[in-house]
Amino acid sequence: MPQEITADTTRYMVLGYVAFFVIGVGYLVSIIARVGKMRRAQDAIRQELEETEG
Amino acid sequence: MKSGFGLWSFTLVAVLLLAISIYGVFSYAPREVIMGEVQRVFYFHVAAGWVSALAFLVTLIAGIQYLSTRNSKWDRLAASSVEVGVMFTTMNIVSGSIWARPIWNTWWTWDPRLTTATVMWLLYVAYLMLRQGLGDTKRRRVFSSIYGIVAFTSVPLTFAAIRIWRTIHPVVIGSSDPSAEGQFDMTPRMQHTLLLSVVTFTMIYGTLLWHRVRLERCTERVAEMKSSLMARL
Repeated sequence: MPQEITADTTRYMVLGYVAFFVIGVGYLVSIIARVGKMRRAQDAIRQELEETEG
Repeated sequence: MKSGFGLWSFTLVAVLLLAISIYGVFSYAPREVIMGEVQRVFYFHVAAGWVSALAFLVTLIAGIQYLSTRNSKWDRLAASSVEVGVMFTTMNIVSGSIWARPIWNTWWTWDPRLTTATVMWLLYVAYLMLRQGLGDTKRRRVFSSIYGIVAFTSVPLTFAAIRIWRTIHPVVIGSSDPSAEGQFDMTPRMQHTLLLSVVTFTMIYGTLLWHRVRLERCTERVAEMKSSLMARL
């Protein structure tokens, strides 16, 4: 009876999941970085506005 | 405060679902007999493809809503959804290319599905670039809405490509072209894992979209504060 031969494709699976992880985490980090940047900008402008009022 | 709690609860559920999905992919789902371990890429590959289509559908609906109401919240939703959708499309295309290497013996081929997916990705990358280039807020919002509606034509075309034309890309759900390579029959465990992955990715999409909309709102607030500061000086 002929037997099925399973290909050894483990490294491609690992590469695939590394790609999912890198793209997903990279995007998450970009959102966190942009939120931080906007918050700092908001604080700086708020301070300047208070100074102009004073 | 209430919105923050909701968002972080949503995020937590998405992370938990992701952990369960990873368990499903690597432990619950069986190894495919012919392709071996690389077939496990399938679960997240399909889920990423589904979520990118959903993201662009949300952009289409938000674009129509903006044009009919002129409420800026719809524009924020549309733009945020495009960005998240582009990220998931990138995941889908890159993982597909990695899967193709051992199965099709090539990283890339200009097959109808791969070509239409790339065109769709480029159209939405162009959306983000063009949006950045338009200074006038009202014009940017109207232009983005119309563009988002027109660009959506690429989504059903990408979905239907493997069903209309002769293609090497397999159709796992439904009948496939006889020349397709990488075709396999899903066992019940594979179906459960796929369903769970789709639910998980939809949840992750919702979470990322929520975070991205908040960022967009914050960016708009900073722009408003900047212009009021400039007016005072």
